[in-house]
Amino acid sequence: MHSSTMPIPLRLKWLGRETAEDCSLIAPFHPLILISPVPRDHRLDFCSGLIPLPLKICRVFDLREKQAVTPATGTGDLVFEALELADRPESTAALYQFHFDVYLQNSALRQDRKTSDYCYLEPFHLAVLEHRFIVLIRALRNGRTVAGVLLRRPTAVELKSYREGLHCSGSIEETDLAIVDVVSLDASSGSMLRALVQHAARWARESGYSFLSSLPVAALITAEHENEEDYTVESEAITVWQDGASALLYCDIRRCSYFATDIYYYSLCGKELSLHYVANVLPQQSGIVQLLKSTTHIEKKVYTRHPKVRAALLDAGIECELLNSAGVPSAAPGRRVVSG
Amino acid sequence: MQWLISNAEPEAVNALILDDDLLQDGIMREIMDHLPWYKKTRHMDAILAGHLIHIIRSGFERSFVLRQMESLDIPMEVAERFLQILEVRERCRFGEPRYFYAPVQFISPLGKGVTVQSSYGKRTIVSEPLAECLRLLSRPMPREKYQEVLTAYLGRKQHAEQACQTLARQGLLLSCDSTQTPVRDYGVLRWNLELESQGNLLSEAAWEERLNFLEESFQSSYFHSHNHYVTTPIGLCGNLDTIIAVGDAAYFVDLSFKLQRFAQQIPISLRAANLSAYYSYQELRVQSPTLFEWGLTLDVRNTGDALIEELLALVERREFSQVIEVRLLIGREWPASLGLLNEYVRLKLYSTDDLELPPLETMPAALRYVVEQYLRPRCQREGCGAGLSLYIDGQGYVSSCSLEGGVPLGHIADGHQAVEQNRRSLRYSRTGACRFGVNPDSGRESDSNRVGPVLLTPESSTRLQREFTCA
Repeated sequence: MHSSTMPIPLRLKWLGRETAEDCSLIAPFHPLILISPVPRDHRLDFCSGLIPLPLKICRVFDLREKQAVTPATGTGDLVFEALELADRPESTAALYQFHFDVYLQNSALRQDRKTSDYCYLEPFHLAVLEHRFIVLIRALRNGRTVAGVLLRRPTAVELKSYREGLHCSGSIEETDLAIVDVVSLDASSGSMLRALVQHAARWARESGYSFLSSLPVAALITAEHENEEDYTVESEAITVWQDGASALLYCDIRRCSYFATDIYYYSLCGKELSLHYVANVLPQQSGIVQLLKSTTHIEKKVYTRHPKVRAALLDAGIECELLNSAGVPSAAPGRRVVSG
Repeated sequence: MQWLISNAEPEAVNALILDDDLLQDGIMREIMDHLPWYKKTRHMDAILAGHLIHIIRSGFERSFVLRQMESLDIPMEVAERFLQILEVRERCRFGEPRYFYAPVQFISPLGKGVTVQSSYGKRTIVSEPLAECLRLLSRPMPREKYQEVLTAYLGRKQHAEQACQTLARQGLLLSCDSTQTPVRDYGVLRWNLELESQGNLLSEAAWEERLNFLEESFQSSYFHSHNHYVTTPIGLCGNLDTIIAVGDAAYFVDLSFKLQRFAQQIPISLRAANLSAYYSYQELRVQSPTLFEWGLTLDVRNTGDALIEELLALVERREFSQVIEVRLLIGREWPASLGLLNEYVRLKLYSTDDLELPPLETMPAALRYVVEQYLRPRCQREGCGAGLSLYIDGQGYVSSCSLEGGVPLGHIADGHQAVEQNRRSLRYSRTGACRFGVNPDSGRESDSNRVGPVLLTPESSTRLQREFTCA
């Protein structure tokens, strides 16, 4: 027996002017093409229909709102514990134990990864050497650590992005913001992700942090496992992007509407960020309701070609544009021409 | 000894117990929860179910079933509980059926022991006396009688019981109450779709109808809904001349987006009565997305060698490096130039008539392999029944076969449920031979070089349906 997987997206790195030619050739034949990072003066070389994307997206939870963190439910036999990472040798030992015994084991079981999880070792070492890690929240089952989340302080560059994106009245200091550096989950634990993040959020709030940022994810979410990374904690999250518009996407929404899973992306129009969601499965089978309800301060557009999906979304209070078989809706970003 | 017996009516040889309904009902959850951590990968439930359906079948001895489950990293206590759940849900029971039979394909000496190839794929080495015990069970035998035969051979009743026990625990001695052929049915294995309608390629609206129908069909099958297939689940077909006249690469690019959710590879086989459009066909093939695997279907029942010669003349020029797949529908006569054609294309052979097959020894080895694969009697193979590979024509009518004589099963506008109901009754009414050779009506050919007649009538399209459209 064999199984099928969706062969998208195809990612092309900018390697010079010829990349533009390759892109123009391939774009009509392949569902999606992401090009990163493209110098601004070369954008005109590309075919039309390319949408500027931010490089990375973070979802930031405002911990000052008391209702932001609700207790986790349905975690069964799991026990959670927080290990504060002071500047002690035991802390480093615990970090390495987590990396080798939990993170690497869990990532070995996660299929369909586009990039190797072993690449995490470098940023992990850097954060260890710079003493950036704040806390390790562990989930234990029968005394064995099966999952965990690592929080760290932001770098100076990251702090600048957060300051710009959060639009806070007061200044945000390094000690106000905790960033999820990695979440490692047992492949069988469906509800564990939210529980882990909720425990991390509660710990951060009790420790005096004002914001908790999710780990940065790509602005284009296509596969199931990526969907898991764009988590929420049942509250409104502020979407913050990093590094401006440094990637381009070719996306034909009508064609994307035939995929087996949902697909969504964050696009940039100048300084305005918007979320485009192509719903291909019923909302009960995806995280669309939770995602859209928790995403604030940005424009959101939802498309589907399935009347059943549209009806279910309308029932959930989500406006949705029905794609007819003839083509894309009038305001489809896939047909927008980038002016440079 | 306790043997697994299916509660399904009618009883059958090696009947499956884990059916689609049970799987859809989430019976795998119990096992999944207790798997070791390193086994809890994505889609493991479907992968594991794919293995378990072959183990949890009637006729196997209890300890053999448990050991096989343990070999899949299912803890013994979980395996025991799983079998109990199946008993509580009245799908099976343990007992002592009337007959014994041996699921043995061949027995050959290996050093001091003997290799025994079992019909369910397992190869075991046993001692010579045990191999002889298996030889004595060449066909189903009442339990008591077999034990008498064994006692006479081994000298003591105690030794006969021991031999039975040893063979049963290795899965080499099976039992049954009835020699009825079982029906294995986990839904449609492949949907074959006609690409054209009234001289044109299917329109956007027609595809929309078909996609909705297919989605419904895939969702109703446990394995298909888990993207787990034994064969490519979608195939396309059409007429070469029509497709070349009206089709272009852009159409197939668009089609690839519509179909890629169902499979990684989708074969397109075009029927050709002549090969005047061969070069245009090759151009279209290289321009269209790699999702599609292009091939030709040549019906040489009436044309004899002429069409094959024409194709040979074209492929010998080697203007297209990629080897294509050619499906040949042969009549009574054996085309002489098949050996040469087999050197240039990937050949698949199907016969709808009483084919006179030349002796295998006179064929080149490569062609002999193809003949062995496609034309030798498919007896002792479960699943020869109809209803596994269905065809949707250009008008949306569903039938059991893409050739004339297919059994009509409804229209896609009737909805998946209606078509599925017809399909099931077709499937259950026409089963093939039992793979263990227990069924006396298995139709095993006495002359292995001769292919049995297959008539293209609704009543007997079973064999053709499987061999032609389900390849």
